[in-house]
Amino acid sequence: METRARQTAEAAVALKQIADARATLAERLVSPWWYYPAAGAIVGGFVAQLALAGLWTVRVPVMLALMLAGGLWLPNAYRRATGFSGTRPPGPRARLWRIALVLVGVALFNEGLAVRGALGWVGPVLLGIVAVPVVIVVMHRYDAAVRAELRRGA
Amino acid sequence: MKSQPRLDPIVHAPKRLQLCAILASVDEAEYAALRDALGVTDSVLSKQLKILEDAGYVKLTKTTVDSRVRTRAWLTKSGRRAFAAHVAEFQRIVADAIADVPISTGHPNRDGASQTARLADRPTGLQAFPAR
Repeated sequence: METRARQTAEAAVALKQIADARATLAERLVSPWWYYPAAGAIVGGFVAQLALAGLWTVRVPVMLALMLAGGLWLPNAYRRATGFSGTRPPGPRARLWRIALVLVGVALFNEGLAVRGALGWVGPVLLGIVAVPVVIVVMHRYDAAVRAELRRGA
Repeated sequence: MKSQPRLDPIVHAPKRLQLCAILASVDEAEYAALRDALGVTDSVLSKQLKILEDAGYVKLTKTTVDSRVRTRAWLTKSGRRAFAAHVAEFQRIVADAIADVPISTGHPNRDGASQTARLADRPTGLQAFPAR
């Protein structure tokens, strides 16, 4: 019986230690101010480059530059700033925001293709501009959800 | 990640447990960031990482940036599994203890009548104490 009580107390202490470590991590996962605008600009650029349909000599280097920026430069810059990379959604709210982020990206790209057909090159450029604040807001919400759920021990 | 609850002696030490808790929440972590987050010295962190690396729970890579060596660490799949199973076992122990309390004290059981009936049929640790 005493063994069981001791086991329970030890388990509770260990869970508290885990919660403390996650809370400490949450305090450190603060993105630098330029992180969200940079991510928004990369996604916006990806949508806007649809305006360059047919101009492959310009479009391919632009796409490559955006892919390198989004796939390499931005994650590396985040890691240099925080010391950590690739946060994993710790709970349901963060998972939802991550799904929302992917859906927003796909929807913007699809919509870019549609408005290019309807409005010409102006359509994707305007949509690219709209994409910047949308991505900033969704990414900000995702990060906030990750920190909140880490603190709460989700 | 759902794991069968199981205590793991490698993960069990408090600093390694906290180290795993941080690494399980991210893909990668830099050495300096881990050291600062845990509030330990370089030698303590190095020793704990070595134990986890030897068990196959952590991978370490070293890269040179601006003539400075940067070490990065991440949990392997087996490390993630071991940590998840370890946490699940702690949660099971605490949940069992909580489930036993309402029956012996007479508080309403939050988990409903069926669990109350199931728990009522088995002896609980707290029933041995005299009622006050």
